[in-house]
Amino acid sequence: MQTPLATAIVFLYALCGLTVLGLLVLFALKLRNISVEKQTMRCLEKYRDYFVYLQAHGEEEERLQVPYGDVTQKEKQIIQKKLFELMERVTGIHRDKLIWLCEDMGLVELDMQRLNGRWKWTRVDAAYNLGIMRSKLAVPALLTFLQKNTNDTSVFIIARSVAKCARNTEDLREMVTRVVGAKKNVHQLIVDIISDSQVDTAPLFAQFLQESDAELVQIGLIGYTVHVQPGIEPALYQLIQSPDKEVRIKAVKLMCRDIRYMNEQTVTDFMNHKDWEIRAMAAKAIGSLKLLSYIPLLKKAVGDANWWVRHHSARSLAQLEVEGFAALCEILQEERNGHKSEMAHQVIQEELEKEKLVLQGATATEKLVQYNEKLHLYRKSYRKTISTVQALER
Amino acid sequence: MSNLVPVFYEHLSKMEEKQLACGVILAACKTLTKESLELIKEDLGTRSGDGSEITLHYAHDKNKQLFGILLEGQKLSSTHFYALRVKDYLQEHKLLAGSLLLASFPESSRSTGQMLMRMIQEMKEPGAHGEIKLYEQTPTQKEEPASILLVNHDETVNEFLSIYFQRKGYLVTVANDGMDGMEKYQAVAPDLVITDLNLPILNGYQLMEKIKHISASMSKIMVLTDKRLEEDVQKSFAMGASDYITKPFSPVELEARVKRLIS
Repeated sequence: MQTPLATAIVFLYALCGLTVLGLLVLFALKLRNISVEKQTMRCLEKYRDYFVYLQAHGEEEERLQVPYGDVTQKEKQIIQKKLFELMERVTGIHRDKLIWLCEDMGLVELDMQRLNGRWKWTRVDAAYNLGIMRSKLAVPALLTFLQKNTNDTSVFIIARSVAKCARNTEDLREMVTRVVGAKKNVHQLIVDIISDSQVDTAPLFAQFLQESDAELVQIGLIGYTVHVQPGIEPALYQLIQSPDKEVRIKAVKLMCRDIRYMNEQTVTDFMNHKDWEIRAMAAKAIGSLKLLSYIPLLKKAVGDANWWVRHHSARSLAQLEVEGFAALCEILQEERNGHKSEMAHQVIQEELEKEKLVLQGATATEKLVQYNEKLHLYRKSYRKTISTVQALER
Repeated sequence: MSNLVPVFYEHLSKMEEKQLACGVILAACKTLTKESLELIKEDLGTRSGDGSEITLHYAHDKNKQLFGILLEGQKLSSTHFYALRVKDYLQEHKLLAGSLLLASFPESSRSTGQMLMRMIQEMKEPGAHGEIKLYEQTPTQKEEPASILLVNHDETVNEFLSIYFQRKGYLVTVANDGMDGMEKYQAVAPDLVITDLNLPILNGYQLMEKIKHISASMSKIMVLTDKRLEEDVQKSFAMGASDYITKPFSPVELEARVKRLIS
């Protein structure tokens, strides 16, 4: 019968054996890496003059010629890596000529075959390569691969490749639809992927704004935030009524960036909207766009039920010159207690402190006059506190 | 006078007269016998890289140890590509004794005769063994060429831009980090510094600060980086940069901006 000690010894031997085996595997991998590295160095050295030729004639009319003689598959892959390094750094005719060279060398064909390979990561690698080579021929195969592969993050690698290779907006649309079907709430990333395309994306984003799918609409709205384009007003007005809150918010955010959309009716609608986010955004926009005519609306909004709306309204009033500041002081006179006067008071103090600090380093008379005027208004206001005024005068 | 001149002159004059392109490759090589010259002709063949038939003329100057090939109808890029083959052949047969020089009419020079004479002259200066040099007579060759200091940690960008700007007639110095860039700046005093912002030892901002510190009439500075944030652009201009380009970049656009800054 086997004693526990004998069992432990057998176990230790097995453990030692496994450790030695692991070390041998590691050693073999290291040797393999060194050999690959040496092979790469030899290949790069062999084609050093060829790479100089490629870089020296990137601007001329003629196509770059493929290396003469027999180029092995391994050498082709090393050359491909070098070409990719260049293609990722330059644009224009230089990149176009390198793309044509990849086609002439059969690298596109090679990766098209690898796209049907047995291993998933070979296929993903091939998709990545085809994206860098901007192969228009590969789009249908890439879209099929994208359709089949929706479970993990490699979907974004394939999607980016489709964007880089896209022949028209239809290809991009197809890609976006498939990604949106597989992954939710990745709008920003999708817009970033689309921006890698060489196709004009403005019509695509405009199409997305007309869609019924809220995911696509959000992508369209983000796309427009990044690539500002005129002529989308009707779609935006419609989207403000969207049943999806996120869509409504993004549409308003886009409108709040542009003074042309901020007419009286729109601003009034925004300031009375049921979503506090929209009311807050509109209040903030009035201040940053310096729309003095909406001071009464802001003054009213300082008493809003939502803290953010109150905060942005009061801050915007402080941004609107002396008139806005006067409105804040009026609030102090009109309201004795409550959220409204509290917020107004807080912002007044902050504003006076801020301006005082600015004045310490500046000599502009205009600023000084403005500060004195604001301080006078504050003192006049009904709810002035002795301590604050004293603190400011110190 | 080299005996390459009489052999090539007639062909070159004809090309110039008809305004047809032609390439010339000169290689420093060991003494060739008549038989080995014939063998070279046979081995190198008459096909260009894309497989099309080309007319070639060979000549050898025993005294100056120069081997020359004239390629009818070939532009500079095709001539360059053919030179790769010539170099490999000569090296393989242990015939190469120095560097190779190549040019083409009319890209390299407007006068074929002058181009040939200058090339022969240039071959007298010993180059690195096996180096392939491009002869280019730009219109500004008589003037002092403008100098550029490239400070970038990315070897691919450095290699590409040094080849690109050298072909455009600029004197290029390369530095791999901020400290190296600073030392080379003091040694070279370039007309333009093209720097990245992400640099080891001294970053791009520190480099700009130091340049500003040491020279009152400082060189123009261009930032070439992958940083796209507004604050980086703003800070770079505030620190004295004259231009800001983000990667990936168009070399054509970059050169246009360089030209504007240096002129």
